[in-house]
Amino acid sequence: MNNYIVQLIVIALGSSLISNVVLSQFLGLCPFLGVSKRVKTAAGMGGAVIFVITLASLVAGLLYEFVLEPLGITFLKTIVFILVIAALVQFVELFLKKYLKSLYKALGVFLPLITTNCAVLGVAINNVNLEYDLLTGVVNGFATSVGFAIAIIILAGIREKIEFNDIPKPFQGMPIVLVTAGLMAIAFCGFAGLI
Amino acid sequence: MKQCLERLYNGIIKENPTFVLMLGMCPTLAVTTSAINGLGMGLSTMVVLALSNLMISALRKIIPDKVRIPAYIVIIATFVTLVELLLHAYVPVLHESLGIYISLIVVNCIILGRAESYASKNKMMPSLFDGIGMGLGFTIALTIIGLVREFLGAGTVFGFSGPDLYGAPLPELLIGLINRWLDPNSLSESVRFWNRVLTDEIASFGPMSIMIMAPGAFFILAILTSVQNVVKEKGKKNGKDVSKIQSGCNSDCMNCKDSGCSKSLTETEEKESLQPVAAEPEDTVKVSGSKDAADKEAKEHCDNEAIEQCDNEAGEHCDNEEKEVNVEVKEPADTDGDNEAIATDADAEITVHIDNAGKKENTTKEEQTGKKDKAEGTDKKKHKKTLLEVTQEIDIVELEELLGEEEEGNADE
Repeated sequence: MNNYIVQLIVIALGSSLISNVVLSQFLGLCPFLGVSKRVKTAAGMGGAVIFVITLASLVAGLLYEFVLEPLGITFLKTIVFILVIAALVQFVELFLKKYLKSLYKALGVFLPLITTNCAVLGVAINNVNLEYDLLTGVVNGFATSVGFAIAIIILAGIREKIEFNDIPKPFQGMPIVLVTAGLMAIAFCGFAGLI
Repeated sequence: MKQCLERLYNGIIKENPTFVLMLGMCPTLAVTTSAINGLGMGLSTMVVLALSNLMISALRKIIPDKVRIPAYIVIIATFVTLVELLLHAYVPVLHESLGIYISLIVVNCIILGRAESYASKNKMMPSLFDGIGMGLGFTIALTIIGLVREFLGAGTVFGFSGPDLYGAPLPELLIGLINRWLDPNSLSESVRFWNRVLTDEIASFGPMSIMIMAPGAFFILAILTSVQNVVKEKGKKNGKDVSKIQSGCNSDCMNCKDSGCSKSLTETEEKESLQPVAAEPEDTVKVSGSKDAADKEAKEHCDNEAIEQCDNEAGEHCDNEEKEVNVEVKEPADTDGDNEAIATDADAEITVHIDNAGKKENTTKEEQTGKKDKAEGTDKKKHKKTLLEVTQEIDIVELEELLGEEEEGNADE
């Protein structure tokens, strides 16, 4: 039991900081670069991603364990996962709109963006490939999305700071953001010594 | 046939998905640690792209419009699964090194984007060639990026290192060749010095392994986008149509409608979910500054670039927004009270800042009357210009707000 908890913590640290989902696995780059102009929006996106990925890894894990494996159709996992995730995001959107207005206001705009976010599908497939059990999978999903939120909020903070800096003309706009992301990736490499 | 060739040219050069459109950046960055990986990924994507384009084009009259996105996703996912199983069976090494990214071809923006913007509207043969062209463009781009990263980061080309060929790592070999070609006596002192330093550096440190690590990918992409910026600038000066350059996800995720990022499952849902972005009152945005930055980003995007840039669908979107903006400007102009009512908590913060400057009443009123005049005085032709001015005003307000925050921070210290 103790061992299991230690293993969970190691996995959580590993997927949130050491092999960060954006900065070292390059999943979910579109929202990472596209929705990081302001810290507030970035936080909203981060929140939405945490919410969706955790839920999606739970649902995908359940489906894999209780439907795909018993039926022996695990090779269909890509199709099943992407459809389930897309449907789930829509469902979550409708649910929030109806019952949790305040949460919908905060996250609603971002939900459609997450439908085809590769981070969500990536986590679900990773969980299966690495043969995580259900709880480990959910913890991994949560940690991964927290890693995403950390990265996007930090990037948004830096972008706000450098917005009016004197940047060489060719590097204005996207290039300087990418350089920033690269420097952040170097910084995150430092976490490799954590475990 | 002519159309098919045109499609190939379009995909490889004119609308190259990586170098021009900047789509599908996740796999581009992730798998280009070596040229062979880039080539493998590109070819897998090409197969999926071509076959799914063909299938979607064949079924375009059968698939109901409302559920087309899920239908496309199923078709694409099917082909991805096929390719993955084939790779696993016949090229296990490549399957191993590409790993999860093969499955993730499903969510590659290029594929859904092409399905939506080309295959669903055109006949089968052109769609097939569109897929092949786009796929080839993607393959070429990935291979080139992989080649550069591999050469700089590992000193090899397609896995062949210098020792296999001449007994030295490739960069060193290159420097050696240049040195042999240059006559050392003809060089000036400083050039000789730097030449020696460079040679020593490369000999002692070996290749820049950061280039094949994660940060290197970002730096390579940064250089690529900066080159794009220069090309775009030059093209604009020469009066060329540069609207396609970088129209992918990278500039603004909220607006990337036609590249498949922000697709909802069904059409109605999409419209509903977009409404909050489009219908947000201009006034709230103006006063509350960063309250809903997404909205403003969207608007700025539309005002500054998108009028020329967006193609049909997105362009309509922008137009709608503009109209709504105008209406909203007129309405709340008469009283301050109205304005307070719309404003939210975020507004309160900014109001404080403006208060600090001691000119809250004046600024807001002046601004509003100014806007009102402008809004009323416009007809459709002047529309664009006024909107640009208004956006500039927003920028000024934003600047003030930022300055205010800084001042406050200083005061705290």
